[in-house]
Amino acid sequence: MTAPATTAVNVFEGIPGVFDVGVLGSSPVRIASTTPNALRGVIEELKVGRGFTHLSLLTAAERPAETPGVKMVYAVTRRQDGTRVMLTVDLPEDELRVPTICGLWSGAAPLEREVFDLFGVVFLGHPNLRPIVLRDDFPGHPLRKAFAMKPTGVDAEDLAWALSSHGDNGSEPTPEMSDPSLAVKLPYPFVADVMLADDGSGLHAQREILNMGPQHPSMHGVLHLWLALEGETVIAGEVTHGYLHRCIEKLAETRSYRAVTALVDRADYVSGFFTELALLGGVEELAEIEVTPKAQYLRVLMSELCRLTSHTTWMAACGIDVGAFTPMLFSFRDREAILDFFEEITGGRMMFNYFRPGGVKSDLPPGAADRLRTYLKTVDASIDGYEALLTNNEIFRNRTRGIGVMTPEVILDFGVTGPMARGSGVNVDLRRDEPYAAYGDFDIRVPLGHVGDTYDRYAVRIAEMRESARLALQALDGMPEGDFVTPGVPRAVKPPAGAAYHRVESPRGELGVYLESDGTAQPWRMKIRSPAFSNLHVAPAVLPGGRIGDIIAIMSSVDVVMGEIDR
Amino acid sequence: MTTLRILLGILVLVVFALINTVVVMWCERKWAGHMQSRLGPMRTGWHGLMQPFADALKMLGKETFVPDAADKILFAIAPVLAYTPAIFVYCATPWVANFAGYSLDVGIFMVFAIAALFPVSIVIAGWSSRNKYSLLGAFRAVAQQISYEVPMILSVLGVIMLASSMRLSTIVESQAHVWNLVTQPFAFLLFFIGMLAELNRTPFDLAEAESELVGGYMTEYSGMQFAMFFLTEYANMFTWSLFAAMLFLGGWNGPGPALLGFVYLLIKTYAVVFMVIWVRWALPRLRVDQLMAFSWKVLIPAAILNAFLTALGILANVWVLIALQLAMVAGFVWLISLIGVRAGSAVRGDAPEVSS
Repeated sequence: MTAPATTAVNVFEGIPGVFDVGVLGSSPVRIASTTPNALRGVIEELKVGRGFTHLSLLTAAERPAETPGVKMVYAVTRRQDGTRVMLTVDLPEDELRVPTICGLWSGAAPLEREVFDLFGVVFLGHPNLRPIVLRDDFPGHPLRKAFAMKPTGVDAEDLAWALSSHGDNGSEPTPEMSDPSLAVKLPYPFVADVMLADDGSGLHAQREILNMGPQHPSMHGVLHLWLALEGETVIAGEVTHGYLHRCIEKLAETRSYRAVTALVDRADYVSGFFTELALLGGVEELAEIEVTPKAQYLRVLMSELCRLTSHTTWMAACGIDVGAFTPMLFSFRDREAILDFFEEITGGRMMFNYFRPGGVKSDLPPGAADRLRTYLKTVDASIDGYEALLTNNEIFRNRTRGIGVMTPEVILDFGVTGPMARGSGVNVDLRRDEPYAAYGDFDIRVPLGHVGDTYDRYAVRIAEMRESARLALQALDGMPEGDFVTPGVPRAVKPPAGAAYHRVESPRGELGVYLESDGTAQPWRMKIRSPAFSNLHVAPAVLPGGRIGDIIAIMSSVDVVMGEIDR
Repeated sequence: MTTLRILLGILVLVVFALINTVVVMWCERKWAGHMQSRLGPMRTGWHGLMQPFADALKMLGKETFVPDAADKILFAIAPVLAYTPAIFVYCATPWVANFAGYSLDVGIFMVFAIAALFPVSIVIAGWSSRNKYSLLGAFRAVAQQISYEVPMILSVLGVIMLASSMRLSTIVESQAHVWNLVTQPFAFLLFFIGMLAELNRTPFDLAEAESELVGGYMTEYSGMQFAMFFLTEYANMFTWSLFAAMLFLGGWNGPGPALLGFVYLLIKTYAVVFMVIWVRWALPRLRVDQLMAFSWKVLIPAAILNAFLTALGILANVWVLIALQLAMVAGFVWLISLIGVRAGSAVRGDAPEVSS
């Protein structure tokens, strides 16, 4: 399913309002521009008329200083043949307004909120345009280049302004914002709406609001669920996050490409290799750096080992969330062995900084390959052990079967990827569909669920753990000889001006890094397309109707890593 | 003189209960550790034997924090009220032959009556905390305890019929030759399940389900007040295991001098404690609707059937009784697995399809 090279250049043919058609750098991504007024029509035609049903990226970047303003970036994918399209919309400084596309993809709603929050772009017709990672009264839009970075973030003057304006985030409501013809309705209820009585006389007498998190044992860090309950049944749920926002995207703009590698390790702290890999894929594409075959195999090896540890961590959390404590200790015992290998090979157990432009930091130490091979052969037996405690347990099945069901339509609507999508039988896996690193040489088997409930997502991840061990063994067996890094890659990588969007299959799904270079040694814009972000924001559509116990089980099957969601 | 004796008896019982609570706590941590390929506490004393005392000291040193919005009086009463019934039931316990604090004609009846006070303290704790998690936990606990008391009491009917008495010492004596576990295995199964629910232990730990309700009804409790709830849990565990040992495992019956009966009783009690701990660390937790459905749709009909068939068995002979019981155990296990399999295979197969 690799992208056909010739036919797709004309994917934009016949769509009014599209100009500057081309190809993104050396990649197969088709690129074009449009105007804010034509945007909705263009995207609708791409989605409905031409089958680009997957919204991969929605973000923004600052335009160059000579033409002040913001550039919106939309990337969509046609899954049938893997064609990728990127659409940009230039917004001049005094008109940072663009129509929302969350009527086409509900998953665009939180992404647009993020752009609104960090760039100040107003999305006309958006039903819920509030800041998403920053607090409501945060002054300014930090990803704009004009935003002054101060050690404390705000000074007294800023704070006074923020307190007086009480959180309108500096954007005055415009007449267009309240234009009813633009208004879009999302396919799930909002908590505030269901709390009102049906006859409009006040609050609903039988319902109450429960704030679950950010300090709650099973919110995987600092997730905050806002639930409207009727007894134990959830009527509506909304997701709040941002408590772990560490400005990784802003910081990246001040660091060299090599330093950004270390920075993005911290984004998804459970599986750092994948963000590194996505970033370096983009850097190497921009700067046209060759990667040695051996390094490609080492990258696959480390990715698969990391997927194994990540899924092991998820399994531990999943067990605890449904009340089974013991699987956690078994899975951490086995994870420990892989972390020891990580430490031996990369020097780190959690923050690796192992992948480098052109290759990796170091070769496998002597003897590590054999010990790794011996260990990987025991993985199946360990997984049998976890399954004995969970898979065939009547209570576990009763707890996970039939709850949190997601149809393939919901998956596409919210841009859900990874094991969550595969649990619903959506056959996507970037390792196979868009082979990066050395994945083209591998025999990849993709497990698919049947109904898309919590149990299916569990079963898919368990099957993927076995697959990862198998692929890691394949990588060890097929490891070519040669250099582990391309000699002569400059210390300060300075790619020519341009953009790249590189995607990898992380344990949580489609992890992409959108890079824009202005020809200097620091990226102009770096955006991490976080799979967990999109996977998490399907929650408001899936949670209603469940009981509190179901909420926990469903959220555990999302595999939330807050570090990656907030960045 | 009588008053002094009663006071002395109370003192001995309270100390005895506390010591056993502490031992059960230690057992839980050690046994759980070994089941999970780790050691459990090792630093405090020999194999962590002093760990419960270290915990208690730590708890005593902590601030007793009362939320602003809480109902202060009820909030303070609840932990005390929770701990009382756990000790109170010991006064009817026959420890060895002809030795019980107060050998009551309706001993079993009294035990269940006093144990039924426990949910009251949970409601008070949950309500007075003024916390939604506490309140939800309290609601769950009350619904659960009331639902599971019914099958538990019904399951003991067979034992009462066999002994023709509700006096605990008579029931123990009636097992001199053969334990009720042999003649009443199904009743024991039902009693054990009900016991897990009464104790709020996995798979029925919904009232304090940590991953759902943070701490359930004790979310807002800290320091020694929290420790009281914690102690209650383990004291209850010992108490119910003690009654399981008396009702089904022959109590103080055993070879050798009568005084050894006390040792036998403790050994049997700790065997039941072990099973309770084992179940906790092996199973996940039920959901609240499944929990209620399991009690009202499965356990209570089964317990009524058990009482009926036991009566028939007593009319016939002991072999018929045992055969009926074993048939019921087999049927019950089959039914449970059927429920599980149904839930599991509602759709084509379980294992994910593989596409390449």
